[in-house]
Amino acid sequence: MDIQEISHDLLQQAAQGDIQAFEEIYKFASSFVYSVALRTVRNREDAQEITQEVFLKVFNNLKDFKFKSSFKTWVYRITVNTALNVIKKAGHDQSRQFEYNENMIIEKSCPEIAETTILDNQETEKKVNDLLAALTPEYRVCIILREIQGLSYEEIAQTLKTNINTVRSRLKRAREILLKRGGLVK
Amino acid sequence: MNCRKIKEIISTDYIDNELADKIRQEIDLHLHTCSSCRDFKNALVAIAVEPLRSSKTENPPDFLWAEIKNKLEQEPQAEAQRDLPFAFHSHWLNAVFVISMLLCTALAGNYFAAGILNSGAQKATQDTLELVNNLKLSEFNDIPNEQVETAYNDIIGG
Repeated sequence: MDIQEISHDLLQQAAQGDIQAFEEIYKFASSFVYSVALRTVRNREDAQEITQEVFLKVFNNLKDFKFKSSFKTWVYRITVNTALNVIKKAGHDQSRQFEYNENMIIEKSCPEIAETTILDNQETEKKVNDLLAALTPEYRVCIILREIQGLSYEEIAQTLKTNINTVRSRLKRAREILLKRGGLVK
Repeated sequence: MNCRKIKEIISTDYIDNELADKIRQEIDLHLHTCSSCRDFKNALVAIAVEPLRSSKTENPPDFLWAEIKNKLEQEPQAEAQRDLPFAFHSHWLNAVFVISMLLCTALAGNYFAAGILNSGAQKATQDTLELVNNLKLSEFNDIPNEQVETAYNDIIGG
């Protein structure tokens, strides 16, 4: 399910207070909202609260949404701002501690493969979270939108309400930091 | 383009597929011949790009929608209550509250109006006594008040 597939009609029904229609929107959009929140704050409890807050904001403001930007960009913007606010309120980037062992997919039908999958997933998760931990929240958000969510420079600029050159320079700087961390750039 | 510029483009637009075909071809040609830029690109992909791109999207826990739905259903009631300047659940209590507030306002107005009138009268008496003192009528100190008043009226011409 992709957020792009959400129809105009469904959005208008939800805008009129139809909770069933909004549940459909939730099904389309919740995984990316939760993923962006989780990668940004890197803490499951905070990510759940952010997801909840984002959907309440979306529901309450949907009637004022004028379709000037895409719905996807709008929801991304709310998600990113809410997540960054959580970090700001905490006063420092508490998210640098992350639980690696949670929520790993277990294929119960085939325990041997499942064990390998869990280990692979844990290793990938650890690598991803180590990389993200090396970045400031602003650079991290840019990298998440680009690498994990696959947004274009234009979409990232719209989401962060900035220009493409700022997006480009943040991505460049973030990658320099990651390479430096890997011992490749002085 | 020199290697420094090419590495800069590799770490942004090239790796993110944001380049025009012509420039992309130019860089691909350069990568065939320059091992330094090629090594840089391979390291960048291996360290800073691939691990992130291969990470999976996660779903929120199932109970989250139930919590959101619950809050959404409570929201219209909460909003309706927020619209009221006072928040009693009963209309009768709201009516009693409004009437009490009106009565309080009327009583307070009455009290302040009386206060203003009183202080005006007091001020007039005080002014008269001050005037008598200013006229240095100390010789009248030994005579009764009524006579002081008569003498005062004679002097002032009241």
